[in-house]
Amino acid sequence: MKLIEADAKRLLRDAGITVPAASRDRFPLYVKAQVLEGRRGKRGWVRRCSDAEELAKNISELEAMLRDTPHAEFLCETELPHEVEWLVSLTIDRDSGQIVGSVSEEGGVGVSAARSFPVHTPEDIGTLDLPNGIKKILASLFDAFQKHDALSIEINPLAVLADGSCVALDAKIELDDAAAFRHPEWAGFTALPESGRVRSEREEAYTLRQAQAGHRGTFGQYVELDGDIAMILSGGGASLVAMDALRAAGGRPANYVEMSGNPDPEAVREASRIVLSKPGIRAIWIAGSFANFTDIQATVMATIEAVRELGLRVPIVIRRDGPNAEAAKKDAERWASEHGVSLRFDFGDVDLDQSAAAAVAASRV
Amino acid sequence: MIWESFSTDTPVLIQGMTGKEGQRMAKWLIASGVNVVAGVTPGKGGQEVEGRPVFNTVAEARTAFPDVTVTSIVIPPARVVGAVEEAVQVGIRYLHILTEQVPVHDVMRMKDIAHTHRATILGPSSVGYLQFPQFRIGYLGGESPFETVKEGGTAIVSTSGGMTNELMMALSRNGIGVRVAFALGGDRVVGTTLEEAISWCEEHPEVASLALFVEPGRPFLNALCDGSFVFKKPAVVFLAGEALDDLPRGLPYGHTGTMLGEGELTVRETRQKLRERGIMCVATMSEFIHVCKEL
Repeated sequence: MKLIEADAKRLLRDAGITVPAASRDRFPLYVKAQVLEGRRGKRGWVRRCSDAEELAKNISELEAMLRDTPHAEFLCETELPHEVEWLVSLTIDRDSGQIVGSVSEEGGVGVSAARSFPVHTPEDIGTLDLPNGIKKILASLFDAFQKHDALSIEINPLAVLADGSCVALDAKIELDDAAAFRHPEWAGFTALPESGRVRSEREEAYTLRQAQAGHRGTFGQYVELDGDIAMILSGGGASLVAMDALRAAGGRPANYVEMSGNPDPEAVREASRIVLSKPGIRAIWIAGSFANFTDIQATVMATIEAVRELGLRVPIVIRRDGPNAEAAKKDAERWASEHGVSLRFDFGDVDLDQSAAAAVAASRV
Repeated sequence: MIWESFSTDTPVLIQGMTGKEGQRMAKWLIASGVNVVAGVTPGKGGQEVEGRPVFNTVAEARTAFPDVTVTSIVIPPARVVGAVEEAVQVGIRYLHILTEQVPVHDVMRMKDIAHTHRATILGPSSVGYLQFPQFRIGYLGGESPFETVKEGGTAIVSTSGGMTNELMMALSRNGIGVRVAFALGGDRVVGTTLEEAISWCEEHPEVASLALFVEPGRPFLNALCDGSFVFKKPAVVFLAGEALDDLPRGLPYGHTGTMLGEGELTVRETRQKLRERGIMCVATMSEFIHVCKEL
């Protein structure tokens, strides 16, 4: 999860890093929109106010601007005079699979303009050719990074005051969702949708369902799109192949969603129910790669159960293979003929491109 | 990457064999000729799964089967790092991890531990490994892959387990044989990277060509684009996901490691770059098969 600035600063403060005092009555101050998007300054979402009247005016303007953007309560911080700004960050480098630090003496610039170095142990920080104040911040960050299961922490800018002390003026933190089981305290953080737009009711419901899913199987991202073919996809990589194939065949997906790794059929039924309740669906495409260990019968029939519950009467095209696939085909076809639903079930010898074309054709009947 | 060519004689351990997935894995592996000798589940020592003994610790299993150096780990995410540590400390050298949703800090820690003990980790979130002469670990290929998968010279390497299997089955259907298949797992950080597995394949003469399925946002694609990684054997890269070019960036699609950041090349641009470098890059399954027939 990505943290809003106010939560990120709470975490930094606990790690011993100074952050500006929050205040709505010590002017001049900055009012800052609490959103997950970057470039807030350029968007006019951070504003300096010299008195209470200006603050009130800015807050009402910002509220109007942010009507369609997920945001939390505004953060107001008293201005802090300073000369020098740094950028200090830690992240996990996907290339090396290690923690990498970045610093720049010119805060405000992107991380790409900064100097980077691997940080394996706290001792690595001691050997860096950097001012002691910056090294102290890096050491506190490294400790917080590990303790909080962070994927990235960025302080930009970090103000260096006349007396040499450092204050984090802005902070971005992303935490590893997979580690949520050992961080009950994360429940206290504000969870905003990362897509930058307000979630639909269905996306909201799916997110809740996702949060409750156990470790078995994967409930990937659900994103509503503006097409008319509902996709229930399996396999992280195959979901991309499938979506490309559907679009290449002239189809317009109603959503992206991916469930795999032999997920619990009951969870598949609930998630399918959410996805398939989107209005305007003209066909359902259940597609995935040749499964290694996902029970095809249990998962396909879980989605069909959701179709039954919703009373949907649209064509269903399925391309699945793997464990229990033959039983899945038999069950699905029997259900379809009993309910008068058009259903086509192909195995692995029909590739995703061909099945996508069949789904597009079915949606146009 | 330290890896071996295994065989039907290679003894294999399953950590978590008494669980639902562990039991099924034992059954399928044994049925496909893999020499599963024992399982480990703390507190369940003395039980049996598929006629194989279960021990409380890896150390006890190693005492009973001193030759075992390969393990499959199928346990809940919170306990995986401990299971890895336990295994490498008593001499296990090849570790496959099926478990998904392992915290990335745990993965970095287990990579350190494995490195110290000169052990190799495949995964987490890896569906497995398969090779000829007949051997596999994990679930790669499903229930009985050796009935369908054709033996040959192609190495399949992918971060996606489903697509590793899809390519393996499609190649076999089209008369193209497979030598090895690595499903590396799609997480941000994994025990064995695309570069490492590909390099291993290139060093082994029994592998004639490489078939890769790569997802957008993988650092490996940057290495191919800027020329810092060059194939030494005939290779085809299946790069899917141009649909992501039109979806919000900065979000993971499918795997946590599949993410286009702000300012990164689009999928179409990446394909173009790879082709300019002379790399065979395809976008669909039919193109993939067509190119593999030519390799």
